Amino acid sequence: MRTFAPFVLLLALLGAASQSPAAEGYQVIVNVANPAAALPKDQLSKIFMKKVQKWESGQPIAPVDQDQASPARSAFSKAVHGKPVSAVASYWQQQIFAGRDVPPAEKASDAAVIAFVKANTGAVGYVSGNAPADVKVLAVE
Amino acid sequence: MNTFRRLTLAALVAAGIAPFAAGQEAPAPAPEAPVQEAPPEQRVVLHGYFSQAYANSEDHQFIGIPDSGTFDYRRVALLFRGNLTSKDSLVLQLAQRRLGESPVMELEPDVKVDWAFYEHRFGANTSVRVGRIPNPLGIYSEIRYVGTVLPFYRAPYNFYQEGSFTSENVNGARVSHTFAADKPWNVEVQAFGGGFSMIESYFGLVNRAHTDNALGGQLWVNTPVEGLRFGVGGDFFDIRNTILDPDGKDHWKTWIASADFSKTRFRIRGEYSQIHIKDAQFADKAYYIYGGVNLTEKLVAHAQYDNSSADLGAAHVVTLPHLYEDTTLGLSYAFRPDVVVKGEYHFVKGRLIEDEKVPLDPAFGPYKGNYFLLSVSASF
Repeated sequence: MRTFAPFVLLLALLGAASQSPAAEGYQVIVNVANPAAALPKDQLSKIFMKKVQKWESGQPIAPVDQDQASPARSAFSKAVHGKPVSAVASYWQQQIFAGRDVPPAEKASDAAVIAFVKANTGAVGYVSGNAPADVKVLAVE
Repeated sequence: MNTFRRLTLAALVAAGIAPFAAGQEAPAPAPEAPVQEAPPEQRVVLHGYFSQAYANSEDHQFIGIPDSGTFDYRRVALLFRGNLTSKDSLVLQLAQRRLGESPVMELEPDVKVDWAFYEHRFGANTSVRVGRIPNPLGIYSEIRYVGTVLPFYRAPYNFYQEGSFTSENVNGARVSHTFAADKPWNVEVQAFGGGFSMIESYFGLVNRAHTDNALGGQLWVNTPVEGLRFGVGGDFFDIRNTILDPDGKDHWKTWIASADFSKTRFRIRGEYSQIHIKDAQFADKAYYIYGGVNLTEKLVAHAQYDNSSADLGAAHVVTLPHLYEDTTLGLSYAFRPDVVVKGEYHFVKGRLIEDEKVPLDPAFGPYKGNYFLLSVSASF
């Protein structure tokens, strides 16, 4: 048993390191022209709350959400915002009806999000499954 | 100084300080990106909200709620937002209010323009609004009728009023800036000026008064504790065509203090205000404290205590406690964030009843006016 223990431990570590964010219910994507490779979670949250509005290059960010009923939205909201979708929706209602701002665009499906991200170089969104090759996956730190 | 000069001064001040304030933001490593048009789906957006209630008093009538009950109790609004560029917006909000058998309904229009303003943003933390703008004083001021985000049908009555002795908007200009926006402690400052009209209702009379030379401000301190903030604010203005003064003119001063601690599963809020009306020799002190807790993600329990008192006379020798005292218990259930039903019971006693003509005098009242209110609210 002692001979196999380090091997088992190594396999467990490799499994954890290679776990795809899609296994968590969402995967963040950006346009292939975007030089960003990773973002801290709190920065990503601020982007989708429109508190950060430009990439480091100075280009405006265009965040795109999914529908409030989407499982990907629910997973993203809990993981990145640390809040349920309902709390984020309430925040946006207050922003809208105070005349301050409107929420990010909402798309009904992964395909619609992917199309939006491909068409907008400053866009950032998330999908429920593994992203296709013609968009870039952003690591969430 | 007349209203035009004050507005001009406010606009010049806004134009002068806004670029300076924008320059106080952290320097960007890259040149400022050019102003871009908003994405097509966000260039013109339409939103709206709707709250319909049934209300029934078990005693005297307050705020339009009779002992025979009424369904004529609602608030509807449509908000049009035109995002001209990423920095420029036009906002128009149309609204309708029904307040049951309140005497103010005599002067309430069928449809009114709540807001109509242009906003320009200087960077992420500075903005200027010009036109008919939301009154920014207080926690609920800008959202005081949005049923899907309020704990009860309306915002706390003594502090925000409804239908009379208040205005949800100001015709003028407002400049706003947040200092240290990216720091744990940051301060948001708003300054506004202009004028507005408001309905007065007293002793069976209703009247529309007009204000000029209004100047005010609201300051919010956001703390490192998420959801915790403190605010102070106030305004002063001249009023004409008022029924509260024999010569129809007077001067009001208001100051407020606010505390708000809002988390996903619970929230505690409190506000205090003082209003001084100079020639009428009237001073009003009002405060409320509210607590809400999520029993489940969709079901929330709410409790609130709201009270005000008035001092009358040159030396404020006459004090009228319980001008309007309201202890409220309620439940709300959110089928979705944009569809909410509420049930609330108000234990009320006060002096400004609407079903009898009674003066503000210690010899009259306070009177009981307990009522319940069931409502459904939706927004899009």
